[in-house]
Amino acid sequence: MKVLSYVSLVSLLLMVLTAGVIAQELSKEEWQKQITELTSKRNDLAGKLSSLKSEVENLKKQDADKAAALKQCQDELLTMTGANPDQIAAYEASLKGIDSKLSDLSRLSNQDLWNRRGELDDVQKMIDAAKKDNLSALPKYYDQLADFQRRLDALRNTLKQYAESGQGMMTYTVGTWAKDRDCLWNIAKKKKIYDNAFLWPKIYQGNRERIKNADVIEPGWILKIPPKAPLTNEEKSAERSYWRNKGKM
Amino acid sequence: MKKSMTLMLGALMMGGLLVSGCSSGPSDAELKQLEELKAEVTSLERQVQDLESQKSSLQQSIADKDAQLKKCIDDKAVVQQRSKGK
Repeated sequence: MKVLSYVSLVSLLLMVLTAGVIAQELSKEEWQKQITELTSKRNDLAGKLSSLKSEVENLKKQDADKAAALKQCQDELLTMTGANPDQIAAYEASLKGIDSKLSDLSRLSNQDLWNRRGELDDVQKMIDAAKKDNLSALPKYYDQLADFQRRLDALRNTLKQYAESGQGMMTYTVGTWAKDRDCLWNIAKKKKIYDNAFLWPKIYQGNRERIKNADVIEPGWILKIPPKAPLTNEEKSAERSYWRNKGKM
Repeated sequence: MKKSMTLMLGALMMGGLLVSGCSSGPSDAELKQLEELKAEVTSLERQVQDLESQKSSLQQSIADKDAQLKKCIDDKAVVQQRSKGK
């Protein structure tokens, strides 16, 4: 019983002392110091907030003014070209078509590109038509068209190199006069060659290292057949020279 | 012995009471005031941060529009020149 009373007393004492310690975590002086600091900070922040609100309002107005000025400028720019939104959309669609066509051709092997070489002229016509439009004066379209032309020229160059390497060129093996009646005129007349006898100077000029006399070709000769096209000045000159010499004989 | 033990315990208790009951700490109301002030400062800091972010964003937007406007004005000059050339 006595032991129990002593234990109770000690426990009570410990509780009282603990409460005392906790209550002393923040002293009055500390509290006051914090109050003073926080009050000063609050006042500074309130001032800064007010200033910022004013700045942000000004900036919002500036931003709106800039947006209006930009729209006005863009509208004036379009007015200069005389185009309306529908025309612009159609023009952009045509440019997209050119881009798509060029990408398609660029992906071809040299042989396939050779076989589809006629399409390069189609693309050139599309580019020329787009250049005639007033919208082409706008820098973004102007630059785009310049890029298209560069890409098309690169494809033409590829074809030229391919043709010069002889890889794309058709050949014809000369048969005999007795059996095949092969001469330059008849060879040019063949459907699979030019289907046009008057283009014989193309074969003549394309094989000058071998053909000394246009009337003399030998069986077994493998002649290069240049691509079908109107006679060049060089080929016309070779033809005239042939007839001149023939006349002298 | 028992008497002296009791006396000692009693003295200690009195001392404990003195320490806890008579200390000069802030009152509950004052502590509440401190907490409220802290919350107010936190809120203001957040608001200032938001506005600074808005300000920065608006400044960037204005700078972008200035650049676009300059380009538009340059484009107008170019188009005018090209139209004369045609």
